Amino acid sequence: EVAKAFINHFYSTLDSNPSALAGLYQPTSVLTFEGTKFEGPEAIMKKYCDLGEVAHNVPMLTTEVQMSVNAQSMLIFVTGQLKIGATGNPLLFSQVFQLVSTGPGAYYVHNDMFRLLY
Amino acid sequence: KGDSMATRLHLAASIMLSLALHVVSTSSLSSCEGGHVRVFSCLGGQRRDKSCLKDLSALVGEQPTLRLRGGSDQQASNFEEIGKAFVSHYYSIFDSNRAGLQGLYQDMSMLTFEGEKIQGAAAIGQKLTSLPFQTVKHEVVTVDSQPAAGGGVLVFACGNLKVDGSENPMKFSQVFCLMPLQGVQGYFCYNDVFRLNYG
Repeated sequence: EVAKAFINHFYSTLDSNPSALAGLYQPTSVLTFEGTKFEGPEAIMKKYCDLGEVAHNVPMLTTEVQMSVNAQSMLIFVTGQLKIGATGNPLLFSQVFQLVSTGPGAYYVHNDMFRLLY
Repeated sequence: KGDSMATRLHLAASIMLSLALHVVSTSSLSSCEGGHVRVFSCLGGQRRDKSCLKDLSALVGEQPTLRLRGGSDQQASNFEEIGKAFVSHYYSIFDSNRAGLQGLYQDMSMLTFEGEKIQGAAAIGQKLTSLPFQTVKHEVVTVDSQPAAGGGVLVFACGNLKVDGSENPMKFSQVFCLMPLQGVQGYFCYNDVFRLNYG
């Protein structure tokens, strides 16, 4: 459903063309990446672009979804593996998104929190 | 003893838990058992006395809610403190007397526990108390908090846990979405997603 489609889209875009991610965020969006906060589409997109070459193992991701209090938002919790660079070892990561609806079928990322799991 | 227990529960229920950021003045409560005074001064100060929290979760049968100081206009900017305070509170109760966790949820709360979906405080309480271990110890390594859409606080905690005194820690991640209570200050847990992370 919506969450799975979003996750597939998000990670494929992140891995291939991170500058396109800016469209998923709005000025009120916040990303906390390994403890550091970034606000707004430009800052967030820049952070993702600065990661360099990264590959997420999309088919193996576990995705959990819960609706938020107002029916226009949902919470998505992803765990899975990623590799940095061509020869990196797989690393375990966890990421939380809150998607907010702006209209039928249209969502933006309001909250985004990423952690590597050691 | 039964009578004083009822009084304690009543007091606790009507006054609510207070994870104050500053020392809470509780002289009006100290007429009751020593347990009350110890609990509030413990939570108000810096001490993290485990036995204090154990008393607390035993005391609060009716409505153990998480209540933090600060006016409503401060809530948004306090979300970091809210997140940290909640996480500390949640895992302390989990590790000492997890039946006390039920009061942090309401009827519309949702828990997804390792993929299993559970709704409502009673069902969630039942799930948590029936987990197949006697004791658990959580060690929180990271806590990230953000203001959520709709006035809540999104909290993301990662760490390790050990079950029944095992030497091998297991990695876990947990997401909470806290929402403000109606009519009183404080938060309850609306969303809760828990995952063990296998490397």
